[in-house]
Amino acid sequence: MNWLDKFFEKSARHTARQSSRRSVVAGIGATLVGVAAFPLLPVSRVRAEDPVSDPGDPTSCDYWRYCAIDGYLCSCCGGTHTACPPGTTMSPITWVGTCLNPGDNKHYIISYNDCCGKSGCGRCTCNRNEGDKPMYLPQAANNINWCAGSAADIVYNCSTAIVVGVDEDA
Amino acid sequence: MKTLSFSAGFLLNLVASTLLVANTARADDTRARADYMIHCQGCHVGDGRGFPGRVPDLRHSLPLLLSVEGGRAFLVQVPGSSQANLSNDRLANTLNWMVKKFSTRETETAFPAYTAEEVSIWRKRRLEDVLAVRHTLIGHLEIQATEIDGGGTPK
Repeated sequence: MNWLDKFFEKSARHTARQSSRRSVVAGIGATLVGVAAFPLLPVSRVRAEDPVSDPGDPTSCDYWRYCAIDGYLCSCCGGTHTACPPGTTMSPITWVGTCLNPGDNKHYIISYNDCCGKSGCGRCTCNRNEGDKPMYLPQAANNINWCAGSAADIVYNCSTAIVVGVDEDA
Repeated sequence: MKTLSFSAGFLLNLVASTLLVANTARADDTRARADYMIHCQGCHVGDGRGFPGRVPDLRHSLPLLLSVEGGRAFLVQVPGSSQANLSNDRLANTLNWMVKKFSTRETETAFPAYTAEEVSIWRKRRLEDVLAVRHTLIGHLEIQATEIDGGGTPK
């Protein structure tokens, strides 16, 4: 085992000669900062589906995402175009359609999740219905009260317009 | 040299055709994912969990249905599939993607992919009472699963 002792003695003495105590502290410091910074390196954290260009005013019925909406805009009712107003619950069961984004000319898949549990907001009525089908095709009709499928049940307050994907070859 | 260039050409061809197959499969998956979002997700929700008591949980019912005789046809015949505004080809593609996405590995391995022809046959045979057929197919299995789970929601 003599050679092993010699080897470690030699390498320990070598390290001691070559490095100062401060450099060890600096090294540990750099490692700590480096590890903390690593997850911040330029990795795209934006979902591939989120449109980079998103022109228009979400409180206006003309906003591109509202192409197939039928209801009150949550962005006028204390919420936003992607979030429910306080005191309401978002229905997970929704009406889904596609809208053309004039910013990048792509068709996006939009989920019009209704916000439920408080009586109708009554502001910013927006009824554009592009692609809406009659009620005998219920899966493509937006006149359904989608709050019927929420935990808050039936009582409709307003509608959001959430991008869930891109329809590449629409 | 000739042999070398021949084998290099052969290899290139092999790589190119493999890439082509992979690309086609990826394009099919992209189409299926978008079609699922547009035609199914509204009720079944993005991850297939549905809504307890109102919309079936695909992660639970897909493997169950594919484990019984008649389940394969039923998945095409349910109104959400058969009445969707999709061609037979695209419906087959969407269902194949859903099996990959929402069922177990065992189910997926044992599952021969739907073709447009098969889908067109099942689609024409309308179900009179969807819930009754579902109950006949997997009702007993669902009761068993509930007993094993202690009445909790599946998965």
